[in-house]
Amino acid sequence: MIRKIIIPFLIAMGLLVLQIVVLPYIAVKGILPNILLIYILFYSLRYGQVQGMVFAFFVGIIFDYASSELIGSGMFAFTLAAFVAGYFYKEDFNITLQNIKLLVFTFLLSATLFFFSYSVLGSASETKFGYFFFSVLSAAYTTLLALIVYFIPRKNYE
Amino acid sequence: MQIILKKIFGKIKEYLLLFILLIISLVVLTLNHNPKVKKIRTYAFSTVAVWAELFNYVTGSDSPEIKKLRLKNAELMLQVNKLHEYAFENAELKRLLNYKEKSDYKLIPATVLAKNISKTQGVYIINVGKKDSVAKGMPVITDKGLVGIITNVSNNYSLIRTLQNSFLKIAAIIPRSNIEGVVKWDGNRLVIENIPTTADINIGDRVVTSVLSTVFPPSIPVGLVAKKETNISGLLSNVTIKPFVNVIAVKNVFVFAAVQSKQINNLELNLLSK
Repeated sequence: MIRKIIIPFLIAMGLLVLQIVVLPYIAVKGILPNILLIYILFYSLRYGQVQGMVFAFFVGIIFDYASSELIGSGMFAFTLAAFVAGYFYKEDFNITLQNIKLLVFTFLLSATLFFFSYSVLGSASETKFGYFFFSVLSAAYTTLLALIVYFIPRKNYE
Repeated sequence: MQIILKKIFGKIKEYLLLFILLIISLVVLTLNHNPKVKKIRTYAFSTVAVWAELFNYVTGSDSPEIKKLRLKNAELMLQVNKLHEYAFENAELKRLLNYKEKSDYKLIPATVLAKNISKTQGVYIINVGKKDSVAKGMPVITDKGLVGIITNVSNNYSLIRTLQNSFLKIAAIIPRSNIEGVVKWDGNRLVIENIPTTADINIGDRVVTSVLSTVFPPSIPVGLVAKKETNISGLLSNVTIKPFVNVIAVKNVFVFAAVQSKQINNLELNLLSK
């Protein structure tokens, strides 16, 4: 319980503060990666769809309250992204980590869905489908950041 | 029967959970204007703001001299903008030279502590709040122009809804030709929509907040006209505005200590009710 829920939750809170305070400095023309999303996607890949979605849902609530205009938009977007990422869950997480193509595909797909739904829900504009290009760019930037994390030496997961 | 249900549930439990969580999220979306929700948000962003302030303190801050100069710059910007408008209205106002106008601008300097940079929900946290006499509804500017508006205030921090937020709509005017319109963020750019194509608007025209706005004081610079695109009908056009302020890069701002007048709002309401 501590390893699967409490510690990840505390890590997510730390990443949330980093996301809001530090990450805006590395935005490129308004395109910003989301390190909280990276963590949630790795969590889903490690523990599966159900746990991933529940974790993403509660982290999304706190993300919305701490940072956003619309409470509910982050909840929706994180849960959806975790569901998609959790689809590629394998019992042996080390196999997932070694398959870089799968990781890139999962991250790009989930992150695009996240940014698109987050933008659409948060918008009062009629031209909602114009956010798709922005979503792809943000997803690419997030995936790039995720791959940097991937290259950090780590232990084998049980 | 139980076995069948168990089997079905086992197969669809992920989809069922997804459905339930998404429905809850959508329901929560509809509760955004609930006062209790707003109160919780105030506490939450205040907590994040404490960490943000610590980070800003560690990474260094500007000298008092630079802060003074920025404040002076912002005051001068507002004065210069007023002078621009007086130049346009000179002939009409000659008879009214004796009218009184307060020209003391109360500006509260602030630093942006945290930014939620999103395509549609630009929201920043600044390090001034109720104890600095900041109130909800006060505009936020820099020495170049408008940044946004205060939407939520705690004791020490405030939330700004920036120009890059699709919920912020600004009643604006092009002083050269007195064309009024509503500036809004469409996710990619600031735009005034549905202006008659025959309206006298040139590229480079200044756009400022309008006296018709009940949210912003008049004459705060917003941007310059960058593009004019005619709709398919040919009768109406959309005007793209290039803001004076680079909202994404903004760090030091000023809260313009002015809120909308209840008296004026009440008068307007009375007129409408007749």
